[in-house]
Amino acid sequence: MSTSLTTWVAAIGTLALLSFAWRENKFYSLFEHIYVASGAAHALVQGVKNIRANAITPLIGGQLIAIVPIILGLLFYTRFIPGKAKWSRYPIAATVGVGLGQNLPRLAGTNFMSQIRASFSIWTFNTVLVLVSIICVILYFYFSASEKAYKIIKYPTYFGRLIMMMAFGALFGNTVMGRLSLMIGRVSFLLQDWLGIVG
Amino acid sequence: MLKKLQDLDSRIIYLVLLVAISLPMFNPLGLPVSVIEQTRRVYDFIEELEPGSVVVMSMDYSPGAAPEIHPQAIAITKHLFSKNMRVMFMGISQYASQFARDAIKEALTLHEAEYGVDYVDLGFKPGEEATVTAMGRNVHNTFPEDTYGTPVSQIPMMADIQDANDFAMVIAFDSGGSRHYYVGQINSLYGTPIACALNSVNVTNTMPYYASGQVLGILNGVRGAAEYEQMIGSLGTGTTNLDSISFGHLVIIFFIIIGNISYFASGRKPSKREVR
Repeated sequence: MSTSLTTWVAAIGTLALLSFAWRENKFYSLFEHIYVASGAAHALVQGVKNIRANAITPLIGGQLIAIVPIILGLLFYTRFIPGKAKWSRYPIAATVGVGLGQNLPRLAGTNFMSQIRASFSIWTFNTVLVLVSIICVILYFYFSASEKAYKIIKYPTYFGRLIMMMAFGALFGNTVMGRLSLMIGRVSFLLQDWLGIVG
Repeated sequence: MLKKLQDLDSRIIYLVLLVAISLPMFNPLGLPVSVIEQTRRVYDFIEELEPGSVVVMSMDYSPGAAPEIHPQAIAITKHLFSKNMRVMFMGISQYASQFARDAIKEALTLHEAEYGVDYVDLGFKPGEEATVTAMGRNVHNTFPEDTYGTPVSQIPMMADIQDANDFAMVIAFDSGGSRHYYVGQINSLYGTPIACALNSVNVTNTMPYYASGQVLGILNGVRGAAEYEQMIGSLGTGTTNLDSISFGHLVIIFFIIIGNISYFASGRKPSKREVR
């Protein structure tokens, strides 16, 4: 059995949180609160370190441009000053602008154009299947077909639905494997690192 | 009997699952692992790199995903050190350095590598996609110091590494979203090959990148780690946990079958709405 204090704390925390599977209890609630508090404390410390490393230190070192993000950051807090809340719109606008500028070209190029290009590039059975599936899934989400048109697209949309079901199945299968891996990680920690009863 | 099965207390399922995944830990069975194409391609790519090539290990996973991704990071670090690559650890997750240190420690038990010459840990930098974009443009400006506070300009390994054109490949160990940034900002702009080492839940939505060639290969959770460990001939946590996963999956499949049999045998017919 481990003699390390940190291992014991981790083991007791693990058992407390796993006890929720049996039923909600005080032991679980206690460690749930400890977990949330330590997470918040960690985030706070990390936040302060980030501000110091990326804004304060460069500013002291002579990089005057660092004053811009510091001012923008401080403006966020004007929301708490009555009558001055409108100033918080500027950092929000800057954040949205940077986010959009960063994301739009990437999303259009990487997730849209590259995918379309790849769908048409090589004509193998797989790529044809992918192409047909894409069209059928898009048709499934086409809601403005007339009754006559619906009769034509009825079977492709059904195929699109089947394709989506398969994708959801794959996603669920991978999720199950992932969650099981996490549980194995904890059980392995308890049996190996804490109790030391497996090699 | 069937009614009872339908009303089975979920705690019994948890208990059976717990026993099923614990048993192989006491007596490992060593069930065979087949290496799938998407894992092999990562291994083959590294095998074909010239010694001294720069490989970026972006450690962007959280402790919650560590049981799945960390064994992959250890296995790949061992492989890179064995091939004498120059490895640049960094991350946009605040836990990057902790995981990097542990993976390096494990790899150094098997292979020799010198800090600053064969590998460097640039640590964590906030900023998500902006950090990835900036690093692609200029590594030294984005990471002026390593995680220990040493100026990057004083680290010998970093002398000829300026931007993403100098990377032979980037491996995104990711449980959040960094793979999207690397594909969009590094692969698209510089053509740098990207490999992904992911927790299982993120694999399905990354497959389109793999199918289109934007990502050269993907390691899938513990299974991916086990496959990689087999290929490099250094078994670790991934392999030992795979027996437990296989047993766990058998239990889940068993309960899914039992649940469906009892559902249909109970005579309940799905409504028209459910069928449609």
